[in-house]
Amino acid sequence: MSRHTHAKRIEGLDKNVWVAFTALAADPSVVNLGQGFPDIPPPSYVKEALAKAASVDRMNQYTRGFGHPSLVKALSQVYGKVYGRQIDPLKEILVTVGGYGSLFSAIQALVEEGDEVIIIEPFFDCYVPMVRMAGGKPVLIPLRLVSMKSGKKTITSADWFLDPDELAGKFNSKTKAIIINTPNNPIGKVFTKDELQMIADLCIKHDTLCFSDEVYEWLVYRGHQHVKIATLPGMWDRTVTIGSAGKTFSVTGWKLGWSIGPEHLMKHLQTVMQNSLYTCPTPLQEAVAQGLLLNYELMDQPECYFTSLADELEGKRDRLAAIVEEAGMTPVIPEGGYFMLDLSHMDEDEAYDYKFVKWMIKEKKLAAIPVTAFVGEESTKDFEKYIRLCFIKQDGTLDAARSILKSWTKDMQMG
Amino acid sequence: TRLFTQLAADYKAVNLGQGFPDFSPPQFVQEAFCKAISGGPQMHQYTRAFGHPPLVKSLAKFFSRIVGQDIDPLEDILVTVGAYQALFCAFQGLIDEGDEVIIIEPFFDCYQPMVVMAGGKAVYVPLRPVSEGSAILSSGDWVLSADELASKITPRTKAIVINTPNNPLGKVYKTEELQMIADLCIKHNLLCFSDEVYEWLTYDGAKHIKIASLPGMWERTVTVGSAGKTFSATGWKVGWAIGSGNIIKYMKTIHQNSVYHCATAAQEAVAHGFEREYQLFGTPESYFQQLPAMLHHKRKKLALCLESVGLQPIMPEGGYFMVTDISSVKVDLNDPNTKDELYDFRFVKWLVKEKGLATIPVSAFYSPEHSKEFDKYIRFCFVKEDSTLDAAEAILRKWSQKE
Repeated sequence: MSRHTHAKRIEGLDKNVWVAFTALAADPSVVNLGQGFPDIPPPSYVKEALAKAASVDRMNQYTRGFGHPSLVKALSQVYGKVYGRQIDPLKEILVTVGGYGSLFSAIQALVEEGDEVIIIEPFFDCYVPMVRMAGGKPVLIPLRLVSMKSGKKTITSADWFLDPDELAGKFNSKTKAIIINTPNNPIGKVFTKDELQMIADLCIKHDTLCFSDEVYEWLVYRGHQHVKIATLPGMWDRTVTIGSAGKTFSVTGWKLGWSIGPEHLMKHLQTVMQNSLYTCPTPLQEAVAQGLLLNYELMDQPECYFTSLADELEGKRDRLAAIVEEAGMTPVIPEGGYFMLDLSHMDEDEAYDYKFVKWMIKEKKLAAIPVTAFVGEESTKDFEKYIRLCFIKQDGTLDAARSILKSWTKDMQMG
Repeated sequence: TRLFTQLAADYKAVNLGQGFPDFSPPQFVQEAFCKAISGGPQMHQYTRAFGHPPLVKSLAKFFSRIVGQDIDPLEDILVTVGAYQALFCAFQGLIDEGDEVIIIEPFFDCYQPMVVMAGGKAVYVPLRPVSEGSAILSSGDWVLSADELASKITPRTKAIVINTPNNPLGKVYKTEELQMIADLCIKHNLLCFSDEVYEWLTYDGAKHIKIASLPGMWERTVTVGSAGKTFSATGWKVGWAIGSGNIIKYMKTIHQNSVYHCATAAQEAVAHGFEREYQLFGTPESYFQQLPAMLHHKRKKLALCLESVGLQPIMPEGGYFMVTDISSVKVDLNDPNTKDELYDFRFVKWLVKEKGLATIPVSAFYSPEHSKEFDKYIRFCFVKEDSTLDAAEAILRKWSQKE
């Protein structure tokens, strides 16, 4: 069988944190705060829209490859308003299989052998293997926890920064793109306009592209604002912005996402699409279109799901933060997204985060995700004390986690 | 084909071009989909990345019986976004820079760009018509020359792509023909990518044979299937690749680094579809009996229409397309815009604009080096409501009366 070897492009890319941890957490007795998907139901009107679409004959057959017409039109409307610019539904939008599919299309379309791509740690884990699969070279730069001001007790995701000089040092003539993720998974950082301007200045100076993963764009908590880097001067023409129906409407299992950007970049993503899977499922796209149109009418009002979901999650965020603090751990309060990092309160010589999480799942029946899954090898020692918890869960789930942590702390106090 | 879809829409043509049904999927899968949609919250969240457990289990059960192989649902199956993405994973996972891939013409048009995108080199070998004895040719009269195929193999050849039943011709490869290909695969240690999306659509007793079931082939074959074609639900985009775990694992790596998951609810519905078909297999209630029976009648209807205007259809043994020889038709293709294009392209455009009937030119399914040899054929799709076929018939009748 020696000739049945794999293509070189997948060398070393077979391991995946989710494949490992999803299996472990699948045990129904485990309280799963690991993988990032809701256990709360999606809004009923999106499910109804899907049922309705599925009952129309035409909706069960192929639709337009680059995106179902009613969906790209709805996206153009919603984002036209958000960006404050006219977005061409046919030329500047591509519908993909989740935000994941958009990342793949952008990287395959625009990254070549030898290109460098700057990735900010901690990063959603697929960025590195996708860049490598395209023949590119990932160049990593960590967000760094700036030492606490005296008197400030709580750590938030806003305490993590990119060092401007360090970042500037990563750009060179080979740099093809930088990938940013705001709100960030796993820390929950919401990049400020100034921080994005700093990145934008470098992109313009070095003529670099920007892939902006904004799947959590609506999940931003009080006092913070999601800023689209593509709206900064000089950035529209060099940015591909990625969004997700799964995260927007709490339907991760629908696997629909989109890329928005200038025609001269989007046409290449469309080429990848037409040679990889051609079209996305029709009834799901129709249902998302309906969901977007409904919320477009309600935008800026509290009933708008984009706002109401963030409100609901803010409550869960605070609830989980209290739970882990009670257990003696230190949460990193996220400004956005649905993940929270916890500083493990274990001893210095305690197990690394992977071992810790595996042990926690097995012994304590509580699942989380080790944060070093989101960083390169060199940054492992800076991040191994953190585990990631997902709080887009029913209050019952969060309560179950609380019970586990409470009895755990008790054991430790007694032991 | 996108260009022609647009053209058909522009001229409001009766569309026998693009290959998808204009009728609904069968009720039992539609019901299964509705049930999944209103099912628990997990129906709308991520499922297992390589395939929803109920689906891979029902596919394993169903196809183990047919292939005569114990198929492991977790190791030997990858669920993909349509058969299209299964093909993509196969090329990306297994074809390297400089590898040669043999493609049999006429071929579904995505094979060539996928080979190129993987850095491979496409090597073509055409099916050729043998006899012109009878008035109506059959797709069975188009054959592969064993010598010609063998001559295309070099030390760089990595894989061969076969498609049975074939799009556009409708050829259903016989066991002897597959054996000939299998012998070469084994002799030269090649992989085989077998696109079998139309596997249930065979007519007049033609039998669909899986090359993976031939001795020595399971370990080197990726077999691709489609829920869209199987259950007349092309818009669901659920497909799969089945093969030895040793090969499927490389496709899983591509999948996990490109789309990662497929939509959950549709997979749940397809799982129910296969459960039902497993129970009803071989009986008259089976959709896999009913669909080809329904299409058999449509195939006949279309063939008669085409003959009545002097066109020569090639009766397909399988699939839902019919290729027709247009060389005997004399029309004045007087459009100066198309004068540099191949004859069938020009004819198809003329047919849409002047007669309001949309089809696809068959040279689109050939390599640049062979397309000029095969530019006198156009493809019709007959997986359409009778009313659509009637409308096509009316157009053709009117046309023949004018001549």
